[in-house]
Amino acid sequence: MVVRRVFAWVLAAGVAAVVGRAAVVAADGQPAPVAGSTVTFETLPALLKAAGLEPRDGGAPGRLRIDRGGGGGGFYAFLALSPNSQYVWISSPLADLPKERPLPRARLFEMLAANAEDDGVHFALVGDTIHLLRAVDNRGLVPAAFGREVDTFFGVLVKTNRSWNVSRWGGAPVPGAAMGDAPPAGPETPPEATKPPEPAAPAVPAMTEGR
Amino acid sequence: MRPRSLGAGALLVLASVAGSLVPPSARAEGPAAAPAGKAYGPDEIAALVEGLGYEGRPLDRGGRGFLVARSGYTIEINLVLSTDGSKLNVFAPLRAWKDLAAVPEEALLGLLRATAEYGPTRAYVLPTEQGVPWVGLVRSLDNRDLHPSNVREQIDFLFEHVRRTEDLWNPERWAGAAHPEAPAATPAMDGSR
Repeated sequence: MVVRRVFAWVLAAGVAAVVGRAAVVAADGQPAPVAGSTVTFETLPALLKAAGLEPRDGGAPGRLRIDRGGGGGGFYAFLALSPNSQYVWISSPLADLPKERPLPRARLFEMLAANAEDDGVHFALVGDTIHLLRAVDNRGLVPAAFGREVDTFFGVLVKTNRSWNVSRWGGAPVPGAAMGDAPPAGPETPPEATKPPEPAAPAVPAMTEGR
Repeated sequence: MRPRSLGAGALLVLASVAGSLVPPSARAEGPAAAPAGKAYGPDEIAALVEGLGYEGRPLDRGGRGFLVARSGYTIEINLVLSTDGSKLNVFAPLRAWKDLAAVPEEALLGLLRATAEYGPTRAYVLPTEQGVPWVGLVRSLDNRDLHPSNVREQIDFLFEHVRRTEDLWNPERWAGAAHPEAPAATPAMDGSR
């Protein structure tokens, strides 16, 4: 009798554990990542939602989009896994380089100076389009930390507006280019006209290795 | 009353259920399962560098600097924790750009394009307190669940990308330079970059 009771208890506990796990997998219709682990494209939405973000379709296979702000002054970023799943890339196409040359060197130096910051957020040129990028290691991910990465990303995007916003470049090119040569002009939140354009191409650059 | 013995089928179910109670991590194939990594503190960087087989020296801004030499090519690597400790940055300072006006626009654009091509390696130009900016490449590791092998991998990629981008960051390789064929030389470490 005792053995039967033990068996029944173990069986019930086992079923409960299995059901519980299935519930986690099925939550919100999408598989959830295990806390502090790696994510797949299938589990990425659950991570983002747990971080308080609202991901939506990114308009291309393997890509999600998140928006920040609104009222015409908002920004967006794409999220995608690197081909080898080693990184979760956050990317935002910002502006196309003007055709005219020479370009204002101070602005180019500012973007390269921003790349030395220790937050990992950086500027890059994909073709002639300025992108802001961040490769988050797909290792030991937890929602709160990922949410902070996204906050930092958008913070850098706003803070560096003068550097990447080509509509504010105007005027004569700066020869010799002192870095950080003048304080930012105007509000740091860009007007409607400086919203990033909808990209025609995937925002995550064609990556070759180590990613 | 004597308890009934469990049948083979019941034992099979019991074993299956018991197995399902074991967490996935505990079920991983023992030797193949990677041990958990760690987050490195400021006092652990020196040991990390030594563990990778390099002779490091303390940097003024914290972290450790060391030289990596392969196939007659030597670069300096500075391993520095971010201010908040959340990133372990692997810097490769390459050259002082003493005359910014002489830097070709195509070199600046090329470094930004190389950042897209070789990312997460990113090119930077870092102003220094001495007023002479340094150009270099850097990669950032998120300081969590880290293994020394993760750091070694960053160094390997940085080394390769430094070589591939030399035409962009080395003034001696720019068109019109006095010695366009001059080989790369390792800048002296002064801890200020």
